[in-house]
Amino acid sequence: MDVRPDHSRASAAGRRRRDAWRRLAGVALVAFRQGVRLRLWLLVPLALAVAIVTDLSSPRFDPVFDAIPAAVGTGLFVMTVLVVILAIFFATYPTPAEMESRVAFTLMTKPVAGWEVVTGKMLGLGLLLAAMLAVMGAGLYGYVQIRAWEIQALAASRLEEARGRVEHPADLNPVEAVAREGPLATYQYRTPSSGPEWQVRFAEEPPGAPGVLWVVGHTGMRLRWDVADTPLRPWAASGPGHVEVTVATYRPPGDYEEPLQVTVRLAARRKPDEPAVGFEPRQLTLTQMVDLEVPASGTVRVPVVRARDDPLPEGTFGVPDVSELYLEVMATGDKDVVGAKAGAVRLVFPGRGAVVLEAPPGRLPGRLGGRPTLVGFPDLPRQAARFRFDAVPAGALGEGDTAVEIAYSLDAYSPATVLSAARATFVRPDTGAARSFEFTPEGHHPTRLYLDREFWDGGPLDVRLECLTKGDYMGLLPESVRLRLGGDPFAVHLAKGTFGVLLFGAVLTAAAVCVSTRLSWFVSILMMATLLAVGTVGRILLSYGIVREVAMTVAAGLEEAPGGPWLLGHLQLQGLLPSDTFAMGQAVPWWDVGASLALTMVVTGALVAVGGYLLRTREVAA
Amino acid sequence: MDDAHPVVTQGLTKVYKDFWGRQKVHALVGLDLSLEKGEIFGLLGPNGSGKSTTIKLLLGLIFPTAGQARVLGMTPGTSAVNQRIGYLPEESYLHRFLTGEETVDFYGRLFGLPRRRRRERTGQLLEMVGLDRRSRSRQLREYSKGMSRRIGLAQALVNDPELLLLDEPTTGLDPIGTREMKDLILRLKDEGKTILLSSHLLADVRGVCDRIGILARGELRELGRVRDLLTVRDVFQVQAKGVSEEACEAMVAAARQAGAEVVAAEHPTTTLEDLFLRVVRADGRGRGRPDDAETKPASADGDA
Repeated sequence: MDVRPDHSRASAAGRRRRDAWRRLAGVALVAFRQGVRLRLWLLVPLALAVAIVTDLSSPRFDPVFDAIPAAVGTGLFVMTVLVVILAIFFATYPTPAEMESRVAFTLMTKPVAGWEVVTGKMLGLGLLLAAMLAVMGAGLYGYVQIRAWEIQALAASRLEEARGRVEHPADLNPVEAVAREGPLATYQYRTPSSGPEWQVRFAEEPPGAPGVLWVVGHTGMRLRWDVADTPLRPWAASGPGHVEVTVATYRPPGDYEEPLQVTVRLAARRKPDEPAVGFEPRQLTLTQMVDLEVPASGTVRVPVVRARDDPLPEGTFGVPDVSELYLEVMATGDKDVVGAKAGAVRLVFPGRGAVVLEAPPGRLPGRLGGRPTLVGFPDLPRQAARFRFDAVPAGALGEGDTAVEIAYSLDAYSPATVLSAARATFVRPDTGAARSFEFTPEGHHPTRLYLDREFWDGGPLDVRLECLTKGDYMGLLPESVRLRLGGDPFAVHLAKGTFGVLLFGAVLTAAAVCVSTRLSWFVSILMMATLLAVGTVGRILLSYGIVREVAMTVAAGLEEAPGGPWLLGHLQLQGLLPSDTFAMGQAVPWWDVGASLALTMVVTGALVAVGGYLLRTREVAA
Repeated sequence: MDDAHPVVTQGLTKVYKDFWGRQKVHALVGLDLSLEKGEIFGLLGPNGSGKSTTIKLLLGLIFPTAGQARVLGMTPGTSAVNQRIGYLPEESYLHRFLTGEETVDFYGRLFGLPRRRRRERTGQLLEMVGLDRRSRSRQLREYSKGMSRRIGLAQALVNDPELLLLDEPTTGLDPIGTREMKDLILRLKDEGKTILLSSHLLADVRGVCDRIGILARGELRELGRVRDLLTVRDVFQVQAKGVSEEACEAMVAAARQAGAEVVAAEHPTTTLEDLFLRVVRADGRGRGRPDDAETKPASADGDA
């Protein structure tokens, strides 16, 4: 009897492909059945119970805003733990058990390739994992829905209580949104094309100041010139001279006891292989400062010599021979404003000559915790930060009002919380129309403001932020201001998060199947535990000094490489789900889901190839 | 190697090594063997003589330390070879969580059989090895030893192989199961298949094998046709029915008169296997299959 496949009408390639699929399906089905018959699915209700009990027993800072993200985060975390447990099981049971029970003897005498066995197993176990995560996701969805009803009612009552008590009605926007839409809405965000651009706002622009960049005293803002490649270094090495800076000044009307002063700084940063003259032994940066009264001419002068280890005369800069060297100017008094434009710096060295630096200065914000900061002040002039959205298409805005969110990279801080105020001014550059909102910046939740369609229906948009309370500060990054657009239904959002866990599980499963093709169950479990430990320890190490430096250097190098940023982003998505990248409320773009899937397939494909080779070259019966 | 010799080995040697690569056991030493197409070849020997090692080498489950083996003219272990052979392992190494039907279906998939043919083939094979409908839907963990051997044989035949490698096919079977297995092997031979079987149960292979090779300590000590190897050249035996006592005495006397030494003159005994089968079948138990009556006798080589 002929029991071979009927291939009379199939091409050779098609036949091979179809036979390979049958083999893959066969191995996958057996792996799936094994998991089902071992009753691994019993872990699902257990894991769901653990997630719910953990969530219910954990205190939340603010139930209206924190409970749902925490519930989803806890659920996804428990799913991840489940995936890790299953991966360890996959590494220690199916394949090693086949080897030890000698089922592999029979299997490997069939016309099946090593990669087909490994792929089939991975597919079967992946299918089992997907089914378990799907059930767990459905359970989590039901639980979160029940919590959402409670929270919506809570938000409504809180809104009722707060109405009329808040100074800035815009502060109620977030809780009002929860009371209206429930806490499960998800959104996509559009970040600005540019910004923050740091500015000084005056009540009235100082006269005769076109081209001048200003900085205001209370903010830590400064003007900066890169002088590393000017004659300053070689000239200072050959003899003393001086640096002249011509500044414009402004003071709001009032009585002042002190004359207007500027702080001039020489900031140097050396590389480890550069000489350390004038630096502390281990120091890599050196900042020398001198406060100078600004004369009527506006030109201040600082003597400079070559840097040396001995103390320098008061008010003199020592110029080190390093590749990063900056000259900086700041206003000293709170209300004082100083400015400069191109050609403001002149180097004068007797015997060598004089040179004017034609480059315009840069303008830098003050920094707190290493991040650029907007500092509050009640009166003008004060600091402002401008963000710009270039040509947003009207179709992208969806229906209804457009929400703009303002989030803070550094917790917004106010020493006078009750009176704290900030202002956001929206300006349409094409028409000049403007609209302002005042709000209370607070670091825990982003501020949300709404623009109606009559004011803005797409096109370019500027957002200017100012802090109005003295002592307040807001840490701002390029993504701190963003347009909030329509996102996914919660079910889709949760499905994407669950899918992310599944991708993570797929990589772990592939690694598990791969290592277990060659190793005993005991060594396999050690190997998987080591892999997971390396991941955990790696994350801990990343928070420390030199490891972080190295990682940042590698990441920076990767960002420069073609396709590097994409790879970097998705490596993070693979490794850090769910807590770091899956933020509740922020829709994950389909493109990211697809890219993560593609990356997972590449990684698992490589593992399958290795596992298949290891299996076929192993003496399974030795 | 040609089509007439499905298995050829030349100087096939296997030395097992320990974790550090030191030589531990010389399992097989310089095996030269050639199987003829359509024959049943028995590889005999005590435990640890190298029978299973030989079969594993022919399957590509382990790799030779020296020498070479060709199976169906190709290197063992390749998909092309595996497509055309069947293997019954020493014990039925199968997934114990699958049912009988699922097991045969799974191995059918590995040979790329389409669903309809798999279903047909599964039914035929389970019928052939004598697994009833109830047994087929039970998981293998619930199977008896005999049932496990039967399902093992079914999976080995799923691709209708040209060459069958049977490692200790009768181990663990009761006399009825042993007889059925031997009958089945003979039937497969009649279908033109070449069969290599290994066993240490000499009586089990006697009535089945065309040729045997005897291994001891990894070396082939004897090779030839069973009849040739077992024939005692200087003894002559006559078996006849319906002979009177006087005639018997006359035949003994005639032999002596002719100068022969009479070694034995007695009524022959049947084998214990035949006695067991007769008793059990008469008792109505142990009926393996409905077509038992049609099976060929296992004593094709002529039990005395």
